[in-house]
Amino acid sequence: MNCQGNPELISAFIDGELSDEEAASAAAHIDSCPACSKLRDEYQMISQMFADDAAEVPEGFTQAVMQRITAQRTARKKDHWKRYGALAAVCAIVIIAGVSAGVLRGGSGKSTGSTGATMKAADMAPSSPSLAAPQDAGAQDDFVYMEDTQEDSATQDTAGGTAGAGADGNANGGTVTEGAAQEEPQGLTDEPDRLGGTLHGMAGSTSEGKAITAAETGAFGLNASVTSLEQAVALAQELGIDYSLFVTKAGQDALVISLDDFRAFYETDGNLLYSEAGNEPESPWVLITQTE
Amino acid sequence: MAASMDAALVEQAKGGDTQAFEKLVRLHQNRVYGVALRMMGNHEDAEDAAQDAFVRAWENLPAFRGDCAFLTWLYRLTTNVCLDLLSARGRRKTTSLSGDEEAGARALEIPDPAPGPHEQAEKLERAQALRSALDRLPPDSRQIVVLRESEGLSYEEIGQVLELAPGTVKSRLFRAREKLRQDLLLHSGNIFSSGASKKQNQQKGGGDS
Repeated sequence: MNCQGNPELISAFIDGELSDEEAASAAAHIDSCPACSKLRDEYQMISQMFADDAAEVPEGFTQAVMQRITAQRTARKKDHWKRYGALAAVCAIVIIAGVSAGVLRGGSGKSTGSTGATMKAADMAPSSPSLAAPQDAGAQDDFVYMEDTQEDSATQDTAGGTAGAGADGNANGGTVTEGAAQEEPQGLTDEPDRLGGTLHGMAGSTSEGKAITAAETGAFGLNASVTSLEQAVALAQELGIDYSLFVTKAGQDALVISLDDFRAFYETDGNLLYSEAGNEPESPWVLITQTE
Repeated sequence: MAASMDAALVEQAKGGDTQAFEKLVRLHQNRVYGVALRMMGNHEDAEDAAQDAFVRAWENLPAFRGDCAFLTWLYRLTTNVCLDLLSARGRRKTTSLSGDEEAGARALEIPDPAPGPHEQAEKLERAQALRSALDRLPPDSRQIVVLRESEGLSYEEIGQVLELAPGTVKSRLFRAREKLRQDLLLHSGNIFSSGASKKQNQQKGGGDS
């Protein structure tokens, strides 16, 4: 090309990116210059090649994307959970605190004097902003082995409705998705090792982010009490549950212990924790403890 | 109008509405996939990259402040995902569209008004030549050429995607385009001459599409 013309201008010219004035002068030159005409033609042919070879997205693409997103939400961006995503249902234990679980709450540490089983949910949701961890948690009889709970729930259509031997907290037990507490339960971060509540049954598949229904909760016939992370872990292992424990209190607070790495995660909004896939909040989990 | 629709859907999606996000995926998947295919050079990698781009968009949606159009942002994510994947792929290229006959044929399944067998064959030839040439083009050149040629973005839009001034876009695009042209001349010079006369007549004075 012997032309003194600016090829960059030709590139911009075919893209329609020159001002009217520039374009007019470029056009005049190109038409009179064989080299520039050739260049223009070749650029245009390249454009045409792109146009002729347009691609369409493969079938099922949208679904594939949405599946990944749903799976990811369920996994809560926790890679270690993701690893198990494809496995069969992730077992989880729901500890429904029809129990005082002052421990869980990081409540005042005051023993209410009543057993958890007979506590009202309202009693359990005192404004307890206190971060003080209960010192006497391990010794509390608040954590009742609630044998009767299962029997009760088993006979109920609304399983879990009366679970917890009358604890109102368990009125929501079957539908943990309801009855969120509004207050911020902060105590846990101060007493990571301790949790209280009653192992109330098995949750559904976390990998699918399913809502835990009352029926599922009772499905495994679990009822046990735990007062510490160790106990929860031990129990889960005994039960052959490999990796995750869900702990919740009266449908409010929840603690998720992922046993594959013995990490515990605490979600402040128990209401949404067990909600249906797609409704979980994106709020981050708070790591409360990590033992080994 | 499309942008305002995007904005509304983006707001809903930010609030956790997956259905709104799904609509965004449907609206833009062809573009995202098109870019990914040009960047990655084969359908399999393109699909992975396009999916990654949308997943990344979902993840980063809270951080999307609407400083640019959603689509602009999406293009940025997509090309970045592709660049990441390409750099991970490194030099050890295995199959690419250059040798991917099946993929070439697939992309050409798009209905064409009255394509004669001869024209069909020519098109296939040109498509393969283009893919091979793109495959040899450095990824950053590929990126800017694709945004222009495949997506038809203006220099200003390209500048937003790549966060470059329009003047820089102009010069970089020219250089990338020149590389592509030189490569085609070198490897498939007949492409220009064979279809030239016919194409020129059709395209005379026309734009680029």
